[in-house]
Amino acid sequence: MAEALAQIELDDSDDALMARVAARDAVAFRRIVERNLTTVHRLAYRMLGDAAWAEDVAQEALLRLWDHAGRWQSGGTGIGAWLRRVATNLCLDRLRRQKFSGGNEIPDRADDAPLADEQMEDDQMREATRHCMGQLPDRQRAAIMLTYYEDRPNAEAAAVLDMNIKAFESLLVRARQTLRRIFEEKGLVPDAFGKAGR
Amino acid sequence: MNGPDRDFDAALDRFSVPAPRAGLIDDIVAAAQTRAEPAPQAWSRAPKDRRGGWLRGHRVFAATMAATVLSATAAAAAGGWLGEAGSRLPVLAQIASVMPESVKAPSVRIAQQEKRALAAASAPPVAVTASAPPTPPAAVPPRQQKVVDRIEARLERREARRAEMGLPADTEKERALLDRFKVADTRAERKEVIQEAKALRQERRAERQALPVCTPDQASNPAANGCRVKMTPEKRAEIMERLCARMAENGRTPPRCRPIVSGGPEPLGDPTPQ
Repeated sequence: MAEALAQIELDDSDDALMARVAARDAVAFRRIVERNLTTVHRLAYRMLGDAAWAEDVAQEALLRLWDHAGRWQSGGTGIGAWLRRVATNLCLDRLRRQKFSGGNEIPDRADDAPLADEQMEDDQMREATRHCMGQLPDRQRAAIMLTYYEDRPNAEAAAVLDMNIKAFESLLVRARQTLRRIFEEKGLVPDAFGKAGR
Repeated sequence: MNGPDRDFDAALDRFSVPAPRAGLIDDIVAAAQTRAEPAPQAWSRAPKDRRGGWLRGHRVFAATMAATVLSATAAAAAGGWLGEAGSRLPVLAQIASVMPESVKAPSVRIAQQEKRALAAASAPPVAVTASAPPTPPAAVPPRQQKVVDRIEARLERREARRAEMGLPADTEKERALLDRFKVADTRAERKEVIQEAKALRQERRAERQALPVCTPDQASNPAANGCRVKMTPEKRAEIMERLCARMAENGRTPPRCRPIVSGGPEPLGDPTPQ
Protein backbone atom coordinates (compact mmCIF):
# COMPACT_ATOMS: atom_id res chain seq x y z
CA MET A 1 0.00 0.00 0.00
CA ALA A 2 2.79 2.37 0.97
CA GLU A 3 4.61 1.45 -2.23
CA ALA A 4 1.52 2.22 -4.27
CA LEU A 5 1.18 5.62 -2.61
CA ALA A 6 4.84 6.34 -3.23
CA GLN A 7 4.36 5.36 -6.87
CA ILE A 8 1.44 7.77 -7.19
CA GLU A 9 3.57 10.54 -5.68
CA LEU A 10 6.36 9.85 -8.16
CA ASP A 11 4.00 9.90 -11.13
CA ASP A 12 4.36 13.35 -12.65
CA SER A 13 1.85 12.96 -15.46
CA ASP A 14 -0.84 15.60 -15.77
CA ASP A 15 -3.63 13.21 -14.82
CA ALA A 16 -1.80 11.93 -11.76
CA LEU A 17 -1.02 15.44 -10.59
CA MET A 18 -4.59 16.56 -11.12
CA ALA A 19 -5.88 13.57 -9.16
CA ARG A 20 -3.68 14.69 -6.29
CA VAL A 21 -4.78 18.31 -6.64
CA ALA A 22 -8.40 17.15 -6.53
CA ALA A 23 -7.52 15.66 -3.15
CA ARG A 24 -6.15 19.11 -2.22
CA ASP A 25 -2.48 18.16 -2.33
CA ALA A 26 -0.59 21.46 -2.24
CA VAL A 27 2.70 19.82 -3.25
CA ALA A 28 1.21 18.56 -6.48
CA PHE A 29 -0.35 21.95 -7.14
CA ARG A 30 2.99 23.65 -6.55
CA ARG A 31 4.57 21.32 -9.08
CA ILE A 32 1.93 22.26 -11.65
CA VAL A 33 2.43 25.96 -10.92
CA GLU A 34 6.21 25.66 -11.26
CA ARG A 35 5.84 23.82 -14.52
CA ASN A 36 3.26 26.11 -16.14
CA LEU A 37 3.59 29.56 -14.61
CA THR A 38 6.17 30.80 -17.09
CA THR A 39 4.06 29.76 -20.08
CA VAL A 40 0.85 31.29 -18.76
CA HIS A 41 2.60 34.48 -17.67
CA ARG A 42 4.38 34.81 -21.04
CA LEU A 43 1.13 34.31 -22.92
CA ALA A 44 -0.73 36.84 -20.78
CA TYR A 45 2.07 39.40 -21.03
CA ARG A 46 2.09 39.24 -24.82
CA MET A 47 -1.69 39.53 -24.91
CA LEU A 48 -1.96 42.39 -22.41
CA GLY A 49 1.40 44.17 -22.64
CA ASP A 50 1.57 44.71 -18.89
CA ALA A 51 3.49 42.65 -16.33
CA ALA A 52 1.10 43.26 -13.42
CA TRP A 53 -1.98 42.32 -15.45
CA ALA A 54 -0.16 39.27 -16.74
CA GLU A 55 0.49 38.15 -13.17
CA ASP A 56 -3.18 38.65 -12.30
CA VAL A 57 -4.28 36.53 -15.23
CA ALA A 58 -1.68 33.81 -14.58
CA GLN A 59 -2.77 33.59 -10.97
CA GLU A 60 -6.45 33.48 -11.82
CA ALA A 61 -5.97 30.77 -14.45
CA LEU A 62 -3.98 28.58 -12.06
CA LEU A 63 -6.48 29.09 -9.24
CA ARG A 64 -9.26 28.03 -11.59
CA LEU A 65 -7.31 24.86 -12.22
CA TRP A 66 -7.28 24.29 -8.47
CA ASP A 67 -11.03 24.92 -8.32
CA HIS A 68 -11.82 22.63 -11.26
CA ALA A 69 -9.52 19.80 -10.23
CA GLY A 70 -12.45 17.69 -9.03
CA ARG A 71 -14.00 17.78 -12.50
CA TRP A 72 -10.78 17.03 -14.37
CA GLN A 73 -11.20 14.35 -17.03
CA SER A 74 -8.15 12.21 -17.63
CA GLY A 75 -6.93 11.57 -21.15
CA GLY A 76 -7.77 15.09 -22.34
CA THR A 77 -5.57 17.69 -23.94
CA GLY A 78 -3.48 18.20 -20.82
CA ILE A 79 -2.95 20.91 -18.25
CA GLY A 80 -0.92 23.17 -20.55
CA ALA A 81 -3.63 23.33 -23.21
CA TRP A 82 -6.33 23.87 -20.57
CA LEU A 83 -4.39 26.73 -19.02
CA ARG A 84 -3.65 28.34 -22.38
CA ARG A 85 -7.34 28.30 -23.20
CA VAL A 86 -8.44 29.76 -19.89
CA ALA A 87 -5.68 32.37 -19.83
CA THR A 88 -6.39 33.49 -23.39
CA ASN A 89 -10.07 33.94 -22.61
CA LEU A 90 -9.29 35.80 -19.39
CA CYS A 91 -7.03 38.12 -21.40
CA LEU A 92 -9.72 38.71 -24.04
CA ASP A 93 -12.25 39.46 -21.28
CA ARG A 94 -9.88 41.95 -19.72
CA LEU A 95 -9.07 43.58 -23.05
CA ARG A 96 -12.75 44.30 -23.57
CA ARG A 97 -12.59 46.59 -20.56
CA GLN A 98 -9.00 47.80 -20.69
CA LYS A 99 -6.92 48.42 -23.76
CA PHE A 100 -3.59 46.79 -24.42
CA SER A 101 -0.85 48.49 -22.42
CA GLY A 102 1.52 49.34 -25.23
CA GLY A 103 3.70 51.91 -23.47
CA ASN A 104 3.62 55.66 -23.90
CA GLU A 105 7.04 56.64 -25.12
CA ILE A 106 7.10 54.91 -28.45
CA PRO A 107 8.50 56.91 -31.37
CA ASP A 108 6.46 56.96 -34.56
CA ARG A 109 9.40 55.48 -36.40
CA ALA A 110 12.41 53.75 -34.95
CA ASP A 111 15.16 56.30 -34.49
CA ASP A 112 17.66 56.23 -37.37
CA ALA A 113 20.43 57.95 -35.44
CA PRO A 114 23.21 55.61 -34.24
CA LEU A 115 22.94 54.86 -30.53
CA ALA A 116 25.88 54.68 -28.21
CA ASP A 117 24.56 51.83 -26.22
CA GLU A 118 23.45 48.69 -27.99
CA GLN A 119 21.28 47.74 -25.05
CA MET A 120 19.30 50.93 -25.42
CA GLU A 121 18.68 50.12 -29.03
CA ASP A 122 17.48 46.64 -28.15
CA ASP A 123 15.12 48.09 -25.55
CA GLN A 124 13.83 50.60 -28.02
CA MET A 125 13.20 47.93 -30.64
CA ARG A 126 11.46 45.69 -28.12
CA GLU A 127 9.20 48.53 -27.04
CA ALA A 128 8.47 49.41 -30.66
CA THR A 129 7.53 45.78 -31.38
CA ARG A 130 5.32 45.66 -28.29
CA HIS A 131 3.64 48.85 -29.41
CA CYS A 132 2.99 47.36 -32.86
CA MET A 133 1.49 44.22 -31.33
CA GLY A 134 -0.78 46.43 -29.27
CA GLN A 135 -2.24 47.94 -32.43
CA LEU A 136 -3.56 44.58 -33.60
CA PRO A 137 -7.20 43.73 -32.83
CA ASP A 138 -7.29 41.47 -29.75
CA ARG A 139 -8.22 38.22 -31.46
CA GLN A 140 -5.67 38.75 -34.20
CA ARG A 141 -3.03 39.26 -31.53
CA ALA A 142 -4.21 36.06 -29.84
CA ALA A 143 -3.84 34.19 -33.14
CA ILE A 144 -0.24 35.42 -33.61
CA MET A 145 0.59 34.76 -30.00
CA LEU A 146 -0.70 31.17 -30.03
CA THR A 147 0.79 30.10 -33.35
CA TYR A 148 4.02 32.05 -33.49
CA TYR A 149 5.11 32.56 -29.90
CA GLU A 150 3.53 29.48 -28.34
CA ASP A 151 4.08 27.33 -31.43
CA ARG A 152 0.64 25.72 -31.15
CA PRO A 153 -0.86 23.91 -34.14
CA ASN A 154 -3.68 25.77 -35.88
CA ALA A 155 -6.27 23.23 -34.72
CA GLU A 156 -5.42 23.79 -31.06
CA ALA A 157 -5.24 27.55 -31.45
CA ALA A 158 -8.65 27.50 -33.18
CA ALA A 159 -10.08 25.49 -30.28
CA VAL A 160 -8.68 28.00 -27.79
CA LEU A 161 -10.50 30.81 -29.59
CA ASP A 162 -13.68 28.75 -30.11
CA MET A 163 -13.40 28.97 -33.87
CA ASN A 164 -13.45 26.45 -36.65
CA ILE A 165 -10.14 25.82 -38.34
CA LYS A 166 -10.95 27.67 -41.57
CA ALA A 167 -12.11 30.78 -39.77
CA PHE A 168 -8.98 30.65 -37.64
CA GLU A 169 -6.67 30.34 -40.64
CA SER A 170 -8.37 33.32 -42.21
CA LEU A 171 -7.95 35.27 -38.96
CA LEU A 172 -4.25 34.34 -38.85
CA VAL A 173 -3.66 35.50 -42.43
CA ARG A 174 -5.34 38.82 -41.68
CA ALA A 175 -3.32 39.15 -38.49
CA ARG A 176 0.00 38.59 -40.28
CA GLN A 177 -0.94 41.03 -43.05
CA THR A 178 -2.01 43.71 -40.60
CA LEU A 179 1.03 43.26 -38.39
CA ARG A 180 3.42 43.33 -41.33
CA ARG A 181 1.88 46.57 -42.52
CA ILE A 182 2.27 48.08 -39.05
CA PHE A 183 5.90 46.91 -38.88
CA GLU A 184 6.54 48.48 -42.28
CA GLU A 185 5.00 51.75 -41.20
CA LYS A 186 7.23 51.83 -38.12
CA GLY A 187 10.28 50.91 -40.16
CA LEU A 188 10.82 47.63 -38.31
CA VAL A 189 10.87 45.55 -41.50
CA PRO A 190 11.63 46.50 -45.11
CA ASP A 191 8.50 47.31 -47.05
CA ALA A 192 7.23 45.39 -50.07
CA PHE A 193 9.58 47.35 -52.37
CA GLY A 194 12.64 46.44 -50.34
CA LYS A 195 13.00 49.86 -48.77
CA ALA A 196 15.21 49.25 -45.76
CA GLY A 197 13.75 49.39 -42.32
CA ARG A 198 15.74 48.94 -39.22
CA MET B 1 2.87 36.54 -47.33
CA ASN B 2 3.62 32.96 -48.37
CA GLY B 3 6.85 31.30 -47.43
CA PRO B 4 9.26 32.32 -44.72
CA ASP B 5 9.46 36.01 -43.96
CA ARG B 6 12.69 36.37 -42.02
CA ASP B 7 12.36 40.11 -41.40
CA PHE B 8 8.87 39.66 -40.05
CA ASP B 9 9.94 36.77 -37.81
CA ALA B 10 12.95 38.73 -36.59
CA ALA B 11 10.72 41.67 -35.69
CA LEU B 12 8.37 39.35 -33.78
CA ASP B 13 11.29 37.83 -31.91
CA ARG B 14 12.10 41.20 -30.41
CA PHE B 15 8.97 41.07 -28.24
CA SER B 16 10.69 39.47 -25.26
CA VAL B 17 8.93 38.87 -21.97
CA PRO B 18 10.22 39.70 -18.47
CA ALA B 19 10.40 36.83 -15.98
CA PRO B 20 7.52 36.56 -13.52
CA ARG B 21 7.97 38.00 -10.02
CA ALA B 22 10.09 35.86 -7.70
CA GLY B 23 7.49 35.12 -5.03
CA LEU B 24 4.60 34.59 -7.40
CA ILE B 25 4.62 30.79 -7.14
CA ASP B 26 4.40 30.93 -3.34
CA ASP B 27 1.60 33.50 -3.53
CA ILE B 28 -0.45 31.36 -5.91
CA VAL B 29 -0.06 28.20 -3.83
CA ALA B 30 -0.94 30.11 -0.65
CA ALA B 31 -3.98 31.68 -2.34
CA ALA B 32 -5.16 28.25 -3.51
CA GLN B 33 -4.92 26.78 -0.03
CA THR B 34 -6.89 29.59 1.55
CA ARG B 35 -9.44 29.66 -1.26
CA ALA B 36 -13.01 28.70 -0.43
CA GLU B 37 -14.48 25.68 -2.14
CA PRO B 38 -15.78 26.61 -5.60
CA ALA B 39 -19.47 27.02 -6.16
CA PRO B 40 -21.16 24.08 -7.88
CA GLN B 41 -21.31 24.48 -11.64
CA ALA B 42 -24.51 25.94 -12.99
CA TRP B 43 -26.79 23.44 -14.67
CA SER B 44 -26.18 23.13 -18.35
CA ARG B 45 -27.42 20.74 -20.98
CA ALA B 46 -25.09 17.85 -21.53
CA PRO B 47 -23.72 17.53 -25.09
CA LYS B 48 -25.61 14.27 -25.59
CA ASP B 49 -28.88 16.13 -24.96
CA ARG B 50 -28.15 18.66 -27.66
CA ARG B 51 -30.18 16.85 -30.23
CA GLY B 52 -32.38 18.36 -32.85
CA GLY B 53 -36.04 19.06 -32.94
CA TRP B 54 -37.08 15.39 -33.06
CA LEU B 55 -36.62 14.81 -29.35
CA ARG B 56 -38.44 18.00 -28.43
CA GLY B 57 -41.16 17.16 -30.94
CA HIS B 58 -41.67 13.74 -29.40
CA ARG B 59 -41.87 15.20 -25.93
CA VAL B 60 -44.40 17.81 -26.98
CA PHE B 61 -46.45 15.15 -28.78
CA ALA B 62 -46.40 12.82 -25.76
CA ALA B 63 -47.38 15.65 -23.41
CA THR B 64 -50.23 16.73 -25.70
CA MET B 65 -51.52 13.18 -25.96
CA ALA B 66 -51.38 12.71 -22.19
CA ALA B 67 -53.29 15.96 -21.62
CA THR B 68 -55.89 14.93 -24.21
CA VAL B 69 -56.46 11.54 -22.60
CA LEU B 70 -56.74 13.08 -19.14
CA SER B 71 -59.23 15.72 -20.22
CA ALA B 72 -61.28 13.22 -22.20
CA THR B 73 -61.38 10.89 -19.21
CA ALA B 74 -62.44 13.71 -16.95
CA ALA B 75 -65.17 14.82 -19.33
CA ALA B 76 -66.46 11.29 -19.78
CA ALA B 77 -66.49 10.59 -16.04
CA ALA B 78 -68.14 13.89 -15.11
CA GLY B 79 -71.28 13.34 -17.09
CA GLY B 80 -70.50 11.87 -20.43
CA TRP B 81 -71.05 8.35 -21.61
CA LEU B 82 -69.43 6.77 -18.58
CA GLY B 83 -71.48 8.92 -16.23
CA GLU B 84 -74.69 7.85 -17.95
CA ALA B 85 -73.60 4.25 -17.68
CA GLY B 86 -73.30 4.67 -13.91
CA SER B 87 -69.61 3.97 -13.62
CA ARG B 88 -67.24 6.22 -11.67
CA LEU B 89 -63.70 6.73 -12.90
CA PRO B 90 -61.13 8.48 -10.76
CA VAL B 91 -60.32 11.71 -12.56
CA LEU B 92 -57.28 13.86 -11.96
CA ALA B 93 -58.87 16.22 -9.43
CA GLN B 94 -60.16 13.29 -7.34
CA ILE B 95 -56.79 11.55 -7.47
CA ALA B 96 -55.06 14.73 -6.40
CA SER B 97 -57.50 15.32 -3.56
CA VAL B 98 -56.76 12.00 -1.90
CA MET B 99 -53.01 12.20 -2.27
CA PRO B 100 -51.17 13.16 0.91
CA GLU B 101 -49.38 16.47 0.85
CA SER B 102 -45.75 15.97 -0.01
CA VAL B 103 -43.30 16.99 2.64
CA LYS B 104 -40.75 19.31 1.11
CA ALA B 105 -37.25 17.94 1.50
CA PRO B 106 -34.66 20.42 2.68
CA SER B 107 -32.95 22.02 -0.31
CA VAL B 108 -29.43 20.76 -0.91
CA ARG B 109 -28.59 24.02 -2.64
CA ILE B 110 -29.66 26.15 0.34
CA ALA B 111 -27.74 23.87 2.68
CA GLN B 112 -24.64 24.23 0.52
CA GLN B 113 -25.04 28.01 0.40
CA GLU B 114 -25.28 28.14 4.19
CA LYS B 115 -22.22 25.90 4.47
CA ARG B 116 -20.27 28.15 2.10
CA ALA B 117 -21.33 31.27 3.99
CA LEU B 118 -20.15 29.71 7.25
CA ALA B 119 -16.87 28.66 5.66
CA ALA B 120 -16.35 32.12 4.19
CA ALA B 121 -17.05 33.73 7.55
CA SER B 122 -14.53 31.52 9.33
CA ALA B 123 -11.85 31.45 6.61
CA PRO B 124 -8.81 33.71 7.03
CA PRO B 125 -8.40 36.50 4.46
CA VAL B 126 -6.87 35.51 1.13
CA ALA B 127 -3.16 36.27 1.06
CA VAL B 128 -2.97 37.48 -2.52
CA THR B 129 -5.46 40.19 -3.39
CA ALA B 130 -5.07 40.39 -7.12
CA SER B 131 -8.04 41.81 -8.96
CA ALA B 132 -9.95 38.85 -10.32
CA PRO B 133 -10.92 38.99 -13.97
CA PRO B 134 -14.57 38.31 -14.74
CA THR B 135 -15.84 34.83 -15.37
CA PRO B 136 -15.59 33.91 -19.04
CA PRO B 137 -18.95 33.67 -20.75
CA ALA B 138 -20.79 30.34 -20.59
CA ALA B 139 -20.57 28.04 -23.58
CA VAL B 140 -22.81 29.26 -26.37
CA PRO B 141 -25.09 26.66 -28.00
CA PRO B 142 -23.86 25.55 -31.44
CA ARG B 143 -26.64 27.27 -33.38
CA GLN B 144 -25.93 30.61 -31.72
CA GLN B 145 -22.19 30.05 -31.99
CA LYS B 146 -22.34 30.38 -35.77
CA VAL B 147 -24.09 33.72 -35.43
CA VAL B 148 -21.60 34.85 -32.78
CA ASP B 149 -18.63 33.80 -34.97
CA ARG B 150 -20.02 35.68 -37.94
CA ILE B 151 -20.65 38.85 -35.96
CA GLU B 152 -17.24 38.68 -34.30
CA ALA B 153 -15.52 38.28 -37.66
CA ARG B 154 -17.42 41.30 -38.95
CA LEU B 155 -16.50 43.40 -35.93
CA GLU B 156 -12.85 42.38 -36.27
CA ARG B 157 -12.84 43.39 -39.92
CA ARG B 158 -14.32 46.73 -38.97
CA GLU B 159 -11.78 47.26 -36.18
CA ALA B 160 -8.91 46.27 -38.48
CA ARG B 161 -10.12 48.67 -41.18
CA ARG B 162 -10.28 51.50 -38.69
CA ALA B 163 -6.91 50.56 -37.22
CA GLU B 164 -5.40 50.73 -40.69
CA MET B 165 -6.73 54.25 -41.02
CA GLY B 166 -5.35 55.14 -37.58
CA LEU B 167 -8.80 55.47 -36.05
CA PRO B 168 -9.87 54.02 -32.68
CA ALA B 169 -12.29 51.10 -32.63
CA ASP B 170 -15.91 52.17 -32.32
CA THR B 171 -17.47 48.76 -31.73
CA GLU B 172 -17.92 48.91 -27.95
CA LYS B 173 -21.71 49.03 -28.19
CA GLU B 174 -21.82 46.11 -30.62
CA ARG B 175 -19.44 44.08 -28.48
CA ALA B 176 -21.51 44.78 -25.38
CA LEU B 177 -24.62 43.54 -27.20
CA LEU B 178 -22.73 40.49 -28.43
CA ASP B 179 -21.65 39.66 -24.89
CA ARG B 180 -25.26 39.87 -23.75
CA PHE B 181 -26.33 37.67 -26.65
CA LYS B 182 -23.77 35.04 -25.68
CA VAL B 183 -25.10 34.72 -22.14
CA ALA B 184 -28.78 35.06 -23.01
CA ASP B 185 -30.53 31.89 -21.85
CA THR B 186 -34.05 32.43 -23.07
CA ARG B 187 -35.49 33.18 -26.45
CA ALA B 188 -37.06 36.36 -25.08
CA GLU B 189 -33.68 37.66 -23.90
CA ARG B 190 -32.09 36.89 -27.27
CA LYS B 191 -34.97 38.58 -29.05
CA GLU B 192 -34.53 41.68 -26.91
CA VAL B 193 -30.81 41.84 -27.73
CA ILE B 194 -31.55 41.39 -31.44
CA GLN B 195 -34.08 44.26 -31.31
CA GLU B 196 -31.48 46.48 -29.68
CA ALA B 197 -28.90 45.48 -32.27
CA LYS B 198 -31.33 46.36 -35.07
CA ALA B 199 -32.00 49.73 -33.46
CA LEU B 200 -28.26 50.33 -33.16
CA ARG B 201 -27.77 49.44 -36.79
CA GLN B 202 -30.50 51.90 -37.82
CA GLU B 203 -28.87 54.52 -35.64
CA ARG B 204 -25.48 53.95 -37.29
CA ARG B 205 -27.05 54.07 -40.74
CA ALA B 206 -28.81 57.35 -39.90
CA GLU B 207 -25.52 58.79 -38.62
CA ARG B 208 -23.83 57.80 -41.87
CA GLN B 209 -26.61 59.27 -43.98
CA ALA B 210 -26.34 62.55 -42.09
CA LEU B 211 -22.68 62.94 -43.13
CA PRO B 212 -21.86 65.16 -46.11
CA VAL B 213 -20.83 63.49 -49.37
CA CYS B 214 -17.04 63.22 -49.76
CA THR B 215 -15.19 65.40 -52.22
CA PRO B 216 -12.84 63.47 -54.55
CA ASP B 217 -9.90 64.37 -52.26
CA GLN B 218 -11.66 63.01 -49.21
CA ALA B 219 -12.96 59.84 -50.83
CA SER B 220 -9.82 57.81 -50.14
CA ASN B 221 -10.47 57.87 -46.38
CA PRO B 222 -14.11 58.70 -45.63
CA ALA B 223 -14.01 57.65 -41.96
CA ALA B 224 -11.07 59.89 -41.14
CA ASN B 225 -12.55 62.80 -43.10
CA GLY B 226 -16.02 62.49 -41.58
CA CYS B 227 -17.84 62.11 -44.88
CA ARG B 228 -19.58 59.39 -46.84
CA VAL B 229 -18.90 58.09 -50.31
CA LYS B 230 -21.86 58.02 -52.62
CA MET B 231 -21.97 54.55 -54.07
CA THR B 232 -22.17 54.21 -57.82
CA PRO B 233 -24.23 51.41 -59.43
CA GLU B 234 -20.98 49.87 -60.68
CA LYS B 235 -19.52 49.86 -57.19
CA ARG B 236 -22.71 48.33 -55.80
CA ALA B 237 -22.66 45.63 -58.46
CA GLU B 238 -19.01 44.91 -57.67
CA ILE B 239 -19.74 44.56 -53.95
CA MET B 240 -22.71 42.30 -54.65
CA GLU B 241 -20.60 40.13 -56.91
CA ARG B 242 -17.94 39.75 -54.23
CA LEU B 243 -20.56 39.03 -51.58
CA CYS B 244 -22.29 36.42 -53.73
CA ALA B 245 -18.96 34.74 -54.49
CA ARG B 246 -18.20 34.51 -50.79
CA MET B 247 -21.65 33.11 -50.01
CA ALA B 248 -21.35 30.61 -52.84
CA GLU B 249 -18.12 29.35 -51.24
CA ASN B 250 -20.22 28.53 -48.19
CA GLY B 251 -22.79 26.75 -50.35
CA ARG B 252 -25.42 29.48 -50.12
CA THR B 253 -27.16 31.22 -52.98
CA PRO B 254 -29.68 33.80 -51.77
CA PRO B 255 -32.28 34.94 -54.34
CA ARG B 256 -30.47 38.18 -55.19
CA CYS B 257 -27.39 36.15 -56.14
CA ARG B 258 -29.19 33.78 -58.49
CA PRO B 259 -28.58 34.41 -62.18
CA ILE B 260 -31.45 35.91 -64.11
CA VAL B 261 -32.73 33.17 -66.40
CA SER B 262 -33.21 34.45 -69.90
CA GLY B 263 -35.62 32.86 -72.34
CA GLY B 264 -38.64 31.13 -70.85
CA PRO B 265 -41.79 30.07 -72.67
CA GLU B 266 -42.23 31.17 -76.23
CA PRO B 267 -44.47 34.21 -76.56
CA LEU B 268 -47.87 33.46 -77.96
CA GLY B 269 -48.11 34.33 -81.61
CA ASP B 270 -51.12 35.05 -83.64
CA PRO B 271 -53.54 32.17 -83.73
CA THR B 272 -52.89 30.06 -86.73
CA PRO B 273 -55.89 30.20 -89.05
CA GLN B 274 -57.46 26.85 -89.33
